[in-house]
Amino acid sequence: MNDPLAPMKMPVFEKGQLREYAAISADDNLIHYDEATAQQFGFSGVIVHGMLSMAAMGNYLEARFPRPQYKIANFSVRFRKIVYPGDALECSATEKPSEPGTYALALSLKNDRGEVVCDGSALVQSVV
Amino acid sequence: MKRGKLSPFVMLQPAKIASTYPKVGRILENDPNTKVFRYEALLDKNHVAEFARIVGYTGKGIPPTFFTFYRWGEFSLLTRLNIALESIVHTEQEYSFHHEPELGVTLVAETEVVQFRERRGLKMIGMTTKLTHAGKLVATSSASFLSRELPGEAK
Repeated sequence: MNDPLAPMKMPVFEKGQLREYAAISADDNLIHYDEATAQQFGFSGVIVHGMLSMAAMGNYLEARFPRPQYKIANFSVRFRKIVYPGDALECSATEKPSEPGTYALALSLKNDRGEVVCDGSALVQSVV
Repeated sequence: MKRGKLSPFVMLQPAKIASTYPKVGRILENDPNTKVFRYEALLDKNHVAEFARIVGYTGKGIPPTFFTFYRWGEFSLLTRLNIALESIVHTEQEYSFHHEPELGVTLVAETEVVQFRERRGLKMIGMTTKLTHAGKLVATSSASFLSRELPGEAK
């Protein structure tokens, strides 16, 4: 890890992953894995759980600030746009002023159309 | 409808959630006259590992969004507030982490409605969930939802 704030391309979400996530997270909504239901609700296809996008941002945090050297004190996200399986997503962060040993981050998850699908913030602390 | 032009107000399908949301754990407090729901559920090692695999988390410890699982209270309280779940969209989520518990312990999740207001047909609902183990605060979750009552079919 050279630059803790470098953007990172995230693995795309697969449809099978959505079905698995629905089961493991107890967010078992057909709109996430049944095409007919998703279309019935006006979407072009199944949509990614917002919390799965947040999980991807959590993976970014872990890659940039791995445990046990760091720990997350606070992590918050606003869900702004629909994410579809197969969407290319990139996570990035900027650092805001904070106390020594603490990283106050502004987080952004963008799709390949340049739209911010989720944004948020995190407070990461170095563990001594 | 085109991608990116979708109404966000039809994302959850209530009947499906109500019928299949796994009520894992034991209810401790569920008084319909309050805005609180409390239950306890096991923090299962295999469950955490499988969750990490599915979301692609390769770090140590509990993935930062794993506590999304402790959400039975949110669904129960939305129902108690007569909020149609099909009208709901999850707009914001925040976690504060206080103390990482050992795997295999039982966590108590106490969810409370902390905001409920209506404006121009939109309902804004805020809930917090405190996760504790043996009385010690593990994490706090804050979730915000928007609800819009749709005339007729929510489609």
